[in-house]
Amino acid sequence: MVTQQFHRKLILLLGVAICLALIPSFARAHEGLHEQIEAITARIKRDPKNAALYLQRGELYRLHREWVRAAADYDRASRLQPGLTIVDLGRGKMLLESRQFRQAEVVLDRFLQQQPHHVEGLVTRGRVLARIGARLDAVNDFTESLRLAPAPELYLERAQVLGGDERYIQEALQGLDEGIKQLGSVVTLELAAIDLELRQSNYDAALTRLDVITAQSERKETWLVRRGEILKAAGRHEEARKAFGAALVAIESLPPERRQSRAMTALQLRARSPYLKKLAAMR
Amino acid sequence: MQTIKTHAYIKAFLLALTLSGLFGYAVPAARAADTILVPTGATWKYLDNGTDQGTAWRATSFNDLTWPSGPAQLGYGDGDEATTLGFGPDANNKFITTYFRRAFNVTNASLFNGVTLRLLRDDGAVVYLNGVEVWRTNMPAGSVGFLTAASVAIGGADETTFVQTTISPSLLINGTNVLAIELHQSGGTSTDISFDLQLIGSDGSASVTRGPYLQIGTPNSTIVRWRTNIATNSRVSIGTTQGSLTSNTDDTSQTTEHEIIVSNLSPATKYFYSVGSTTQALAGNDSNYFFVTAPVAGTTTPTRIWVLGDSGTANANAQAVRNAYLNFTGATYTNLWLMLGDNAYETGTDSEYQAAVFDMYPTVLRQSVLWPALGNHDTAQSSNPPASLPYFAMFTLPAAAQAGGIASGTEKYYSFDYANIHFICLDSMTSDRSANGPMATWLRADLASTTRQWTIAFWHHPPYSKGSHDSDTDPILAEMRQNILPILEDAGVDLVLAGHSHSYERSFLIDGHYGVSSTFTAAMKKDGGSGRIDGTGAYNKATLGPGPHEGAVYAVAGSSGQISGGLLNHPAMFISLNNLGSMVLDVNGDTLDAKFLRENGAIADYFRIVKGAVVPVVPAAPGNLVATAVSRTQINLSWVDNSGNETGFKIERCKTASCTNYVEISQAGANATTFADTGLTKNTTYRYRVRAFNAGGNSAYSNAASARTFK
Repeated sequence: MVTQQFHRKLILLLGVAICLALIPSFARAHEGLHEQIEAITARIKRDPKNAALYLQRGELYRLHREWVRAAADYDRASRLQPGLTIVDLGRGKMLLESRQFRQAEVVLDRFLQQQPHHVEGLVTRGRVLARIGARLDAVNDFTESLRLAPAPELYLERAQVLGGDERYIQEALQGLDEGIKQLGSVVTLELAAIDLELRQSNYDAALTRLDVITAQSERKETWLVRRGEILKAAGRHEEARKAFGAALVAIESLPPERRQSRAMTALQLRARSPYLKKLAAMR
Repeated sequence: MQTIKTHAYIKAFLLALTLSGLFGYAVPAARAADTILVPTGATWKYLDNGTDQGTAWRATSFNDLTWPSGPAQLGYGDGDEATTLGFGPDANNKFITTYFRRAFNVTNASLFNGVTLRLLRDDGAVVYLNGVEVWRTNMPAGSVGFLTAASVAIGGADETTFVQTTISPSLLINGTNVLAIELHQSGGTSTDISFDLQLIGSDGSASVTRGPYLQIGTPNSTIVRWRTNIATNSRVSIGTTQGSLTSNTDDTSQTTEHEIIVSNLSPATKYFYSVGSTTQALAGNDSNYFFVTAPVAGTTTPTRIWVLGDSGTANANAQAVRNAYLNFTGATYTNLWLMLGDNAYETGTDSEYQAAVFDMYPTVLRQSVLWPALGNHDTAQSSNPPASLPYFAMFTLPAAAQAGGIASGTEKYYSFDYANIHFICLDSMTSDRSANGPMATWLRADLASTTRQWTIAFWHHPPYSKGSHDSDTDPILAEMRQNILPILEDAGVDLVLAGHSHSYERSFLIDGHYGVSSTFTAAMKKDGGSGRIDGTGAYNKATLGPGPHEGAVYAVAGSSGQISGGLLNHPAMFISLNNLGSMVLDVNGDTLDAKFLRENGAIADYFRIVKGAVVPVVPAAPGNLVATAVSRTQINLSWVDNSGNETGFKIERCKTASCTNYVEISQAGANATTFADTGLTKNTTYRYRVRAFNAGGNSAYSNAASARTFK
């Protein structure tokens, strides 16, 4: 019994110690927020009916992850100025960040009812919907925001949401192609598309996409290794060996200092290891 | 400064409001072709005694002789007023309405085809011209009395933003005209009011109100952009001889935002130009309007680069820094210039950009291509700014790799080539900063593609700083350091430029420092000297090209508009200064010279990086390697150092006496002759070999030596 109590106390003390250890780093990470909150609070004291000030302080509390205080300020701003619809965007973000997804959805629905083309609102609701498993609704929001403001990150995020379900891989690919059509051959979109093609064993399609990336690059070694890996995955070992060999030749032709970089060393390893392992296994 | 940051941060939402059209829109200032009928800062009659003036005061004939007068800005509560107004005896029940009047003369009203009214109002206002209401802003519809409150409280950026409208020129009369304005508080407890006004008459002809300025310069093309007061079609005329602009590029669409891609140009060639419409040139065709196309990528040519960080204060500080540079560079052409973010305070609105960039640097803008980065103030602190952000609207940046590099698909981060330099602009503010996020993925691909000799990267949040921001505690700074620097250093970056801290901090030639400042070690200094040729010598990097992990210099150059102090004691820094200034880079072949040019013209720091100048001979192999077991878990090694030019020694090990599958287990520094291998398994034989290395490569291996740990 005594031992159990001692253990409990020890665990409690350790817990407190860990919390205390974490607090300063968290506080440091949000250096300045306290001062900002104090400054706004002082202004609120002088101007207690200014809705904008409560909204501003609510945002600061949200950044500081003080959800209750943030919510109180959002509510106060809304009461003072009911027409200040943008409060709901802050509220929606807060609910998303505090993982209250259902409530976030309600609030963001209300906000987007008022401002249906608000990109940040659409993206935020899309993220909420993705979290609650409403994949296709989330995709609709991302699609609408992409229509308003195309950006590679958002194309990737939409593809990630779609690609999370095997049934929608083709749609994810189409979405990435839409981005490529809109933004040009962006390497991040092409690489994501290659991954999706490989998940479907579309090796030739993946290689075609890789060719597009390779054509953009003055140096080819990175893409030659990737080509080898795709060919190997396709079971086209002879071609894979040639690609790896070409990659190694390209790397060898670099100045020695550049050849020794971590990235190039790792690349060499990727080019060498697939068939080295196989040889070792044969022995 | 904290207060400034505070206000800036919380204006994010207000920017969103502004962009949503709730509070109006930011507007450019009037330009020379227009007639300023009432200037900003003008002297106004005012009445701040809380009385009800009814409607008579609006009339031209009203006698305001007893009213006091003072220059704008008029108001109270913000601290930026030229004339401080009263609000009555009760701070919790301030007067709602304050009245203003000003007479101005028009000689020939028929000359004007348009009149623009720009107004700074906090909170709401109704404007009368010659007794006729011409505008109400942030005021309810219907009858307005002296107790009618403004519709909403104005706050944040809108407290200092002019909103504008156009009014009918038919309301102007020859002779004396009178503007009368009633300014309304949003409530009796509201802390502040602000008022200023500008009235501009236009004769209806087009004039340039912004620029011209140059974007995406390549060896064969340049984008020329400018803004006009009224919509016209667009023409850029160019020629290699001043006064003989024989080649036109037109766009027939009617616009005020003109953007023309001038192509089929020759590399490294000086072109004179003019901008305007197909019917008239509005600016240019003189010795001040020219640009020089970029040289063919990969070639070497002397290149001057001007670097401004956090320059967007639009004040005397920024002017002093600018003037110091213009005086310094003289006739030496600025090949390109970089802005490291926070280019326009507080929230990067269009009007703030007008003041902080377009009105501040007109000469450089029209002669040299500007490559900007996004700062926190350019997005009003938003990490997810709308596509309508003024920054994106006013800049044309190479998302599709139009100037070299790999396409990023976004204007937030991009790369370009100039001569033998590869520039990388990253977005530390709004993009995913993770090591495998889209930006990092693109960065790896971009770096893997370049063959340029120099790599210069720039963005806003510094990886190392102990200025007004602390890279040990600010998570954005830490993410850029931890996630992005390893990628850059592995690709041989030479120089990294950032702002955010309003100071100048410049590192040694360093590599591999990704932790907090307390983890910085002497071993991370590839060269711990000054980098000055009259000091400890230039920083030498062995490879003429991207030499991975040969060291980079990191500079915080965020003091081009203000200084904010800080501890300024980051151990990676060779020098840290709390001075206004900008950086000047001169790249010529294998040499990069950098200077920190203060606002008073003094050179407060300088350094040189030389690439490929010293390619050391591969070191001689170490010899006489001896392995001695000293415990169950430790074997000590000793060898003879046969070289005098090694960077260090690589120690390799395998298990068993005859093994050959060596793995590098550690490195020892230059001149080391011993190594203790600990944490081994008892009663086990280990085999070792050692080789020396330097930037020239690895030596041959020493003899192999083995030992067995104790039982």
